[in-house]
Amino acid sequence: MQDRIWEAHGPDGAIVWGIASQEDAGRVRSYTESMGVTFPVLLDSTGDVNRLYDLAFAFPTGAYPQDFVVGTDGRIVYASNEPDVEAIEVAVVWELEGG
Amino acid sequence: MKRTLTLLAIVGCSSPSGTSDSPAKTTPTDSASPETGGDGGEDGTDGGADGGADGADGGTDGGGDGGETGMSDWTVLPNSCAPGPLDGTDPFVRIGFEINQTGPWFTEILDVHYLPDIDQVLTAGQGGVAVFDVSTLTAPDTLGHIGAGSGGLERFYHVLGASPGRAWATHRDVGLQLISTADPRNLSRIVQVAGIGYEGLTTTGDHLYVADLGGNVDVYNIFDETSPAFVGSVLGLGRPWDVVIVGDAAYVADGDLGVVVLSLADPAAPVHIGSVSTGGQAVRIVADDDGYLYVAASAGGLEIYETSDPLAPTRVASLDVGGGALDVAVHDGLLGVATQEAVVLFDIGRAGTPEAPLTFAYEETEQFAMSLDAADGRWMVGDWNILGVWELGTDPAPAMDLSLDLLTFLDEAETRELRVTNRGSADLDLAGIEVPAGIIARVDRASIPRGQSGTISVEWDGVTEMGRGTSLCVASDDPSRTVLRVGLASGAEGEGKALGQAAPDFTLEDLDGNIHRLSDELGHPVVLAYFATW
Repeated sequence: MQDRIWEAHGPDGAIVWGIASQEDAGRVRSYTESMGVTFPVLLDSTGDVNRLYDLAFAFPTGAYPQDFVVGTDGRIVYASNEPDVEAIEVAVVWELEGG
Repeated sequence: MKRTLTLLAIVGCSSPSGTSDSPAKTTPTDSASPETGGDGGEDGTDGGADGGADGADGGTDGGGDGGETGMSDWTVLPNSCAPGPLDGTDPFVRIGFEINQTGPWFTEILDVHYLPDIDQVLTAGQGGVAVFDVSTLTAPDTLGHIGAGSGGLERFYHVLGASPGRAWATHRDVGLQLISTADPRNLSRIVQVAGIGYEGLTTTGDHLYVADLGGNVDVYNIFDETSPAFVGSVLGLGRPWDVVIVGDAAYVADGDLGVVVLSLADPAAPVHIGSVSTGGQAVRIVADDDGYLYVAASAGGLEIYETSDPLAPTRVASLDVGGGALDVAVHDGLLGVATQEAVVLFDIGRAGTPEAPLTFAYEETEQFAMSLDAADGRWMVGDWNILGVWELGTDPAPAMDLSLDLLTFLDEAETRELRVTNRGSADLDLAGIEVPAGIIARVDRASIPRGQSGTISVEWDGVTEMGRGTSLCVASDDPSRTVLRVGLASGAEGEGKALGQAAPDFTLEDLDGNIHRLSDELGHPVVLAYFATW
């Protein structure tokens, strides 16, 4: 999972946030604990943030998970709804190395 | 395209804790945050050099951009990254700098104020307030610095000269301070007025006006600088970041409302007249002697207003600066904009005008260009832990800027486009594009006039895997940036339209109750993993 990126690249400045939309905090906690998630998991309890990204960048399938990488300049450099940690890592490393 | 890895290492080393393994904390702060502001990114990288900059286009653009049919002459440039003969010399050159990363303190500059008469520069930032001696061009000397004593990261975001030997500074958590700079090696605090959220400030006569992010502009009587007396507030604004005065009016850069107009008919009791919305969050504002306002509107770019009716400013130009406009300065017929990644110059008083600015220069900086100030032919650039001293060169020259620094392809053959913008003062000639296997790159034009853009179409065969160092390289005759690299990655299933857009900003609490705001992490790559437990 994205834990790999957090552990490998967090020390270099990469940030990883899980975002749980419209979910019960207790349920999210037990889920992330069972999955061994070490990065911060943010609670989007109203779903507003999810909607913000959905509205702006709707994926063809609408399916989860949805992963974005925001570049150092605040622009989106990667977006996918296929789980592909390798591709995320490529984007993160690219940003860390600055091209 | 910046060398951010180096930067992050520097930032890490410079943190007060002295460790480099706390990645999240020493970032450009929310002073820069509006870059990712929600409303500003609607047109993303294609922010559109509409308004004045396009004025330069008319004559030379001809029918070339007349639509799809007019773009039929796609050509493949030499598959090489060797630049052609360079065109001119660098028109904007850093002639001196000071790096503060190894001493007992650091700067992390968010505001610079140049005092040309005494050849000193005041800076404010997360390391405190500092004074630099820039009389020696090759090595500005750090004279002294002062913190607020609040512990941890300082949040000094603005600094302004007061009477000689004194400076005003605002600190987000502590308030307004008057600092003695009379002995620049030994700065001392003269007085402090408590306030939360204080940002940009300006003075006129006996009054000081300070923007308060909480929604106010506060007014102090400073007849006696050492004893500022609060005289009132304008309430009910949005997110005021900065304020400037022209005649009997004050103009507030407001992240929510745009440019807010205050009447100063009674300087002690400003009256809120109205506002003009901006294309992105307005964060900094300056005025020139002719009453033009220059507004750094973060993701919305740079906007110019005329104030012939002081209470109803009118927008006369809106400039794409290739990134978020974070600070602005006007000097010597030129408009300078700090975009975090670069300093961008426009000609507004030589061949250009505020209504029809001409692109002039685009220079990337080493770290994060967050602020600039200019006087006497010299430009002071606050580049995070570097204070750069810049001067104009003599030759016109092209300046290459690419719209994306990473192209991600879907799991099928497809073609994506990159925009090449010439932000310089001479024609840009592309010499070659070096591509890896599986990629064909074509250009719609190899020569790009000043202020205009070209398109590079990048076609992937859908088979060759890319990632981990795969890139294409664009070579040109830009004397300062002959070669630019764009990363290539395959395998993502993302919707292409998200790429290159400003990420909508948000603030959320995590499971442990910590608050996280996306725009606070500017300067760091952030992975957002939306997941569901169901």
